[in-house]
Amino acid sequence: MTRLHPVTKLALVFILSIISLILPNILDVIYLLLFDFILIILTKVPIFSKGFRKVIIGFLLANVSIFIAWFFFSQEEGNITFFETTIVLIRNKWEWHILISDQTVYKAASISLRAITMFFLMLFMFVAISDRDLIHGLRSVKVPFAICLIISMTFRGLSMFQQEYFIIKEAMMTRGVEFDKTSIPKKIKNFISIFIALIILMFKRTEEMSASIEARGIPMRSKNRTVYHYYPMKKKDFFIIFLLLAFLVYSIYLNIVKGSFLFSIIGLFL
Amino acid sequence: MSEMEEVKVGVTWQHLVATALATGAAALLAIYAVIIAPVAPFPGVSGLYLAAAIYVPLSLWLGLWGCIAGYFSCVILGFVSTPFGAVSLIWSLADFVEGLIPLVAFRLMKADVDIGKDLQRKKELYILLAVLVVNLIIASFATALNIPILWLINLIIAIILIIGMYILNPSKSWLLYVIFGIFGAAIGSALIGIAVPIAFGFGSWDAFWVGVIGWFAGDLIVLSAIATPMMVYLTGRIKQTSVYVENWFS
Repeated sequence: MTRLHPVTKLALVFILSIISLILPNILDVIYLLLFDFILIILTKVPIFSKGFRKVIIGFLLANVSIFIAWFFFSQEEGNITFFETTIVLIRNKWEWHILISDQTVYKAASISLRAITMFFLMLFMFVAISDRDLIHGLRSVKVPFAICLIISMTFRGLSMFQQEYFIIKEAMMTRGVEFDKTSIPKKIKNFISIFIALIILMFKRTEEMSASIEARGIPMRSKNRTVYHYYPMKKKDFFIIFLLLAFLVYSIYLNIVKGSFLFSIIGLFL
Repeated sequence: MSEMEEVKVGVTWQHLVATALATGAAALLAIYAVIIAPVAPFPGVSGLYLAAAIYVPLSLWLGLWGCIAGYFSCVILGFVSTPFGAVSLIWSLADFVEGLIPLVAFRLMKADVDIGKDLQRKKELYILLAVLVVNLIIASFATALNIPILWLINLIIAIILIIGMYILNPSKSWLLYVIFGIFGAAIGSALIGIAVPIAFGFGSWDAFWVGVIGWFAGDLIVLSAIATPMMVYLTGRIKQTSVYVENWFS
């Protein structure tokens, strides 16, 4: 998995994400999810470690909200009705009507499953592609140098502001500013103080960094700039991208005819 | 030559670096906001979206670069803390629009973005703004519940409050900021931000107004309580730096 080009990995994530939304059959989505797990296992990253477990559990809890939304808000009539009632009725115009049928359960499960599939694809992206790989990969497929530099700085900006946020907060706390046990207006006031400091720091950093880029003579539109790390795209990368695109086209076809990928493959062998 | 010539400055590294760093800062705030105040049943929606507080000032200070920073920070948020995946690329238009609405209003009206300049009777102005925010939240409920009389009353109160603000502080910039920077930005982003996940199957259309009200109210509070003082106190200083964008891109 580490030998694949970063652009191929990105294509894998984005095209499979789109496919997970398109595939009409829930069984196909389950197989896609299994494929996700295989991809993540191939990266050899310990996703069941404490740090990752927190992220996964957090997401699965958030995913419950998607299930609940479809469970209580979609009113799909099915063959079996489990529960039906009107919760709120205002002036006979606006009502919250709950109808739980076999179809609502199916739809809620289907949407949640697609969301889980997309989440694990994103997790794969974060564990399989480092920011350095991403930038060198983009550079090797002729993405302009300026764009690569901006992407790199965005990632740096994220960690930089995280550190600066805590530094400002701690500096305020050492001066006696209370953050936890205080009223909401006071909390807002404290946040404004942090924001103002962060914004001023951001503009200061901008001036410093752009001066340093200009001092190094890096032009904005450079065609012939060479890079130290070079990741060329190999035949297998092109082959995987071709397969992904073919799968995407076939998924669109399946969505139109409401077919199943799994059953159509089984049909080929029978 | 005795007369001073106006020099047009094009896009420089400063603009690109500012966009990158602003994206990082806004993404951090966005992720933080979604974790501390989520709006069920919509993943990625926060009832206190702190990042919105910097989208509007950033777009008014950095022009379209600020809007782009808002867009990419939301893309990062979408990838990191929501199940939207590739849909984030479309969903993030909500945060792009949040900065774009006030920017277009200010640039087309040729108004000064320094809303704090010559600000008169600050205390009374903030009280009227707080009442307007509460009034607008009630108006959004009236729209969702389809109660035209309440909606009409809210509209009349809103107009009276805005006129009152103008009487207290006769400034075009302040008026534009309240209408487009607070109300317009919040409603524009709420409509797109909720419609996109629903259109891609992450929610039901029956829950549309629940999501819109949650998003709208959250943004309204953050924009009036955090973005407004930032605009008042910082715009003057930012305008003195070379990073400040006078037109759309430079």
